[in-house]
Amino acid sequence: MNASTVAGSIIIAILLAGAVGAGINLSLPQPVAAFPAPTKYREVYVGKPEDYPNVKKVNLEVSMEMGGVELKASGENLVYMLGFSRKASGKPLVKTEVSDGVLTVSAVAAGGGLEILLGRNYVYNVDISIRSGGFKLAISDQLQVESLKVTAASGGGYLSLEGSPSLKNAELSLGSGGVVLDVKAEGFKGSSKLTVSVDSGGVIVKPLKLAGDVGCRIKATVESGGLSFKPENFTVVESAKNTCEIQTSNYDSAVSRLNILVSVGKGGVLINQELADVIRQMPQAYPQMGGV
Amino acid sequence: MGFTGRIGFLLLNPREAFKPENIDSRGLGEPFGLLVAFSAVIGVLVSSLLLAAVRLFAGMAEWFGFEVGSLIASVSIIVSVAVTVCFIILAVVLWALISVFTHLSARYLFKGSGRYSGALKAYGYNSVLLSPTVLGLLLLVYLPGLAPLSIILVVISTVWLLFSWVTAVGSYYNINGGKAFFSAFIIPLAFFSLVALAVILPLASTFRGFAV
Repeated sequence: MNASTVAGSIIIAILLAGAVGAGINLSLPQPVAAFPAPTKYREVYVGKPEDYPNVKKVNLEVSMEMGGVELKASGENLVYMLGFSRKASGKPLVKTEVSDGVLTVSAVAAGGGLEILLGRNYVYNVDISIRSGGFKLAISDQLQVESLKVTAASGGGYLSLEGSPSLKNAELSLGSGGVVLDVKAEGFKGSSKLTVSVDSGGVIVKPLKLAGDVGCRIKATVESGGLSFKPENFTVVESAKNTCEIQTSNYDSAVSRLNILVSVGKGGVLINQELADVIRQMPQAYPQMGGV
Repeated sequence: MGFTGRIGFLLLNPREAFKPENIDSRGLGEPFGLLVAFSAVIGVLVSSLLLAAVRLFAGMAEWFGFEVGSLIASVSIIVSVAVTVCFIILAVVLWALISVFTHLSARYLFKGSGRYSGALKAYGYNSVLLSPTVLGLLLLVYLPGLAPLSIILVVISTVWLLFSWVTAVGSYYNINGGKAFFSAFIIPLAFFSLVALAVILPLASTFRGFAV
């Protein structure tokens, strides 16, 4: 067999391999790719009440470079649960320290997803810092959060209040991105101050659902951009091009008060309305966009 | 020399293999068959990659609540056949057109000696140099992690194909390398560039009209 025959045989072999390989690939059942891609690594850190018998207050400090954080109430009796999931290596670092009846949990992770579960029998101070990513915070049931601070250089966030939680002070601060506030806490008690500041992006405060004895005041300012609010169930205190302040009629006499302060540098703010409502109204508001 | 020997000879000694006495003595069926076989295999492999990309987007769509998995499964064979047929038609059209322009240039502009059928056969035989592309695409389908190697193989295939095609034209028409390069590459490229301009310019002016 000479060199030409060998070379020719290789070429024909490649052609046949390509034909057979392509045929097999097409004939095999190909499931739709899983999305998000399955995580390769998962670490769970759980603090149980028996591990911290004298603790009543928990300081939770989380720092992530990139990824998503989800915080919610646990159905079980626990102090905390941190569930890290990631696709790449780089184990998170979690430290705990108890001092004067206060448990401090600090977690540092490079990236991935983090699920945080909080118990109902403790008072929490939560400080989350993300360089780039998203957060979904569901303060629900009887969660007692004294302070909630979230800082993200870029990303998106969602904060919901449901059931009868206690949230004294929340500060959500984003460099660029968007935040949605969804308050449906009809059993809300006490006073609460929610501050949202976004340098560049948008904030949506969805229509609020609060008990009749809860007073609510919302103040929003936009340096450059648009601001839209729906004064339904609210009294307009101030309304200008770049700022607005609305409050419920019972605000001054209410025992429980919810104060929402929104500040956006460049971008837009929607108060007491859904984004979908605004999009639906667009053809009327901007007839040139509504077609013929 | 048997079939595999002829194919190997094209790779190892193209100057000799594409001489008129070796090309004109062969029929048109073999080079045409090789061209169709290679373009069909590349078409099927490309369709596999396209479907893999579609499945990825379908995964995202399902994540958002759109049930498209069954739809993708039912149309995958149709997509594969359509892409493969398109590749074969495109290859045959390019085969005829490039051979025409090469023949006109080499035969009449540079006074070479050779027939149009010879140009067609040379082009058809030259398609065996698509084998590194087949290998690269096969790797990409089964081992996506080796994508850089696949890209290298496709680049090698393209450069080798062009070099061999210029050599084939020079050898078959008995013209020097510069004339062969002009006939085999520059003239067809100029034609396709003119066609592209003829299509793009009216489209561009139409869209400019919309913008105004």
